[in-house]
Amino acid sequence: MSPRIQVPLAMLFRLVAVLSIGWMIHHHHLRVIEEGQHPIRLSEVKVFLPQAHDLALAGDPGGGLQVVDATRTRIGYVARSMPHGRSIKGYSGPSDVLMVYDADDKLLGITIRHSYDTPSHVEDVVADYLFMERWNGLTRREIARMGDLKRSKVYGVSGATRTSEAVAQSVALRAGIGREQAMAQVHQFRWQDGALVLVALAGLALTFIKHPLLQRRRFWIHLVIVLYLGLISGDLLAQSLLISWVEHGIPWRTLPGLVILVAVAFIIPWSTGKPTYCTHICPHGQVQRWLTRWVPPQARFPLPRDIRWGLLALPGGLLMLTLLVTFLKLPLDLAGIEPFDAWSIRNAGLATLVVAGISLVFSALVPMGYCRYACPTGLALNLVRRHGKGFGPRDAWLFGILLLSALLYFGYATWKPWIIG
Amino acid sequence: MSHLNRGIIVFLIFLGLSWTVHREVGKLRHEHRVRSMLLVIQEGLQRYHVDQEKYIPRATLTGSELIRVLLDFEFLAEVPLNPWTGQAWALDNEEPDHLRYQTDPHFETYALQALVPDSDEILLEIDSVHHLSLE
Repeated sequence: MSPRIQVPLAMLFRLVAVLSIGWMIHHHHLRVIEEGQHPIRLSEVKVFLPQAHDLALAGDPGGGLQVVDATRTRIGYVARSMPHGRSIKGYSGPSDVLMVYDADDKLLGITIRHSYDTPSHVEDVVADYLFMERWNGLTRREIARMGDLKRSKVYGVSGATRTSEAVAQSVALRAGIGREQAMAQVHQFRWQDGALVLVALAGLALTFIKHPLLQRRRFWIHLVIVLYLGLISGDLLAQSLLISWVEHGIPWRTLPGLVILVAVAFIIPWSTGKPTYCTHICPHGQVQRWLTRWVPPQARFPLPRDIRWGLLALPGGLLMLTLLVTFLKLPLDLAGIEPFDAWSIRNAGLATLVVAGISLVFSALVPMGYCRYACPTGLALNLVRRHGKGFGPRDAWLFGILLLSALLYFGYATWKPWIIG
Repeated sequence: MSHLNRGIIVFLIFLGLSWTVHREVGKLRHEHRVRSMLLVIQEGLQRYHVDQEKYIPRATLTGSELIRVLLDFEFLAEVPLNPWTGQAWALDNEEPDHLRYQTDPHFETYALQALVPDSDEILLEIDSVHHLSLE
């Protein structure tokens, strides 16, 4: 196959692979959040919708699950009040309320699934049909407006007033979740965003403008980038940042500057093959580059060829570790596997400080050692990078990572019980 | 020999990463067991509170002591699993027991804290003031 066909095909493959991995991580995160401590079971929904066949993520800002029948037709919507209502306390704790709606978004009924409240009060509330059916037939919008219980004429259950009021407030809160979030997001562009856009533009200029006037000032531009991006803003690309964005959504309204920087980091190597972020923007990479120049050659440690070859597996392994931690929700802080958080010295954890120290010592002995042999973020940017021949060995890594994501995503029901034990 | 050396290095890298995953999965499993145990005991404690109209009037109790009280009053249907041994609680005060119950009778509050072994660090807690749920 000629490179004229292979190159765009490879670019398309990388784009589809990265978007697919991102979609699976995002969808999986929503699924886990929605399940929480007590996942909604189909049997609970069947009480209200007997024809319910399966539950799937609703995908709207309010979260929740859509209920489908055997023909995959949407027949309703279901949501639970926890964890959103965890601060709404009855006598002694919050209650997890299940809300089942029909296809027209009208409430069919509620049940209390689990409660941290006093059990006998919860039993009193459940036994009061007038209270439990107070919201039946109302839409989510109407229920969301019923947070003020007095004005909405929602009366507590005698003998379990606080428990029933907490249930009523949880129902109203949960019904209004998506709306509140949409209203709360405000566009903003602060001076820090402007500074990050300038950093991105400086990186682009150094990549594409080869005029001696600019290139002669490269050291000073890099120094300003290292001082600002590294020591002042601390906005380095890292696995923890990227995974968090993929899981929770890209904060383009609140952090537009950083979003532009990340976009440049991915789109430029993908479309042109030039690693702008790694070469001109990343402060950790830049310090290693300076170390390479400043450390005398006799102090360097030439790595044997086999070790060099073997170590090339480390960034890929760390990328796979990132995926496992993300999908399995393991209690490992991803910031600790990279040195980038160490640039914000006051907030850095011990693990990231140790990794930063080792990475710089290693890079002083082995030129660009961390970038070459340990950086998972650098590898992630490299995996999408275009190169002249079309497909290459890096695409095999990307395919492997895509495969691992797919196994973790589609095999969730199989591996989840094994993980919990 | 070259292929063998390379293979050993790659194997060691993946062994290290697998060990990390194994360790973290172990932590996750343990946390899940602690969570389940706390839910069972918290429900028993709430039943005690309704019946006696107060929390167990002892400033501090260990897990074994607390479970014995709840079993005596029949607010626990069976002996819960001890997440630190993986077995049903033996209640002999000689097994690993990192559960702590505290109450303040003046304010009618309680706290159940699962501690990290050999430290005072709290792994999970549920109480009637700040940590109302485990979610």
